Amino acid sequence: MTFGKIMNPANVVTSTRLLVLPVAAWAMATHRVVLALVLLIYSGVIDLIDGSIARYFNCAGPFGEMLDAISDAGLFLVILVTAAVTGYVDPVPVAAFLGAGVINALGRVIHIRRVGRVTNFRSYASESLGGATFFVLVAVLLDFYVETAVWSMTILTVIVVVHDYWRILTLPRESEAGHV
Amino acid sequence: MFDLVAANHHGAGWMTTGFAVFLWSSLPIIAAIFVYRVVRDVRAFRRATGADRVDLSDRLLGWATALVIIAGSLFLATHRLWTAWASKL
Repeated sequence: MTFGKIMNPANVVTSTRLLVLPVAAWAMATHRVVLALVLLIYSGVIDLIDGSIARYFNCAGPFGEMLDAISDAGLFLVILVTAAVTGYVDPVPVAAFLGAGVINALGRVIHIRRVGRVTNFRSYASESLGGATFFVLVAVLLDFYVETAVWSMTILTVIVVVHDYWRILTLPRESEAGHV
Repeated sequence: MFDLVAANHHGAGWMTTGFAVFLWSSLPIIAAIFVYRVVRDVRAFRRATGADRVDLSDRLLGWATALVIIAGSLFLATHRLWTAWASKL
């Protein structure tokens, strides 16, 4: 993969989501809630539109898919760990939720090893949870029943992870369907 | 001074209340999109076979997950609005 293929408009836009993470963590730690919310919403909006940008500029590819997934995971990790460390939320549900997320990520590594190429495992249920996690992060910042929201997401994540692992480990390697 | 975030589950400032109002006010759009897509995927699931059927099964689990999340969010939003305003009436 050449540098030119990696440096395309979609990947540049997506990578800005990683750049704002330290600022968001600092904003949370210093209780600048509005700034943290603005950065969170920026990251969410970019996540919504980066796929469209990739298709518009005809530069969609496996690296961009992985960068998108890594940006999501980085956002969830940084915001939730910062929230737990700085007292926005009880660390126990955060640890359980992030633990389920790590098991989810390991499943994707297993999928890559099974199919023999770098690709993001397609899980609509997991995408649905990822989208909802943005709202949970907003809830964390606004103290909107935080522990209840994080525990609920943990339970749903475990259900989806079990379902995804079943698909990863039982589906024939060549039968991965495109999204309908 | 009117609190910005408020909380500890005993009250709500304008941002927290605004989040609850946002969840309720966006419900008509979310519900319409939700019903349209679920009906579309259920119909496709009935006809699909093989890998496409497995993919649609995953989509339907995603919709079920989304339904739980939406219903849970609305419940908490209702409770938050009640805690913030109605209980003071």
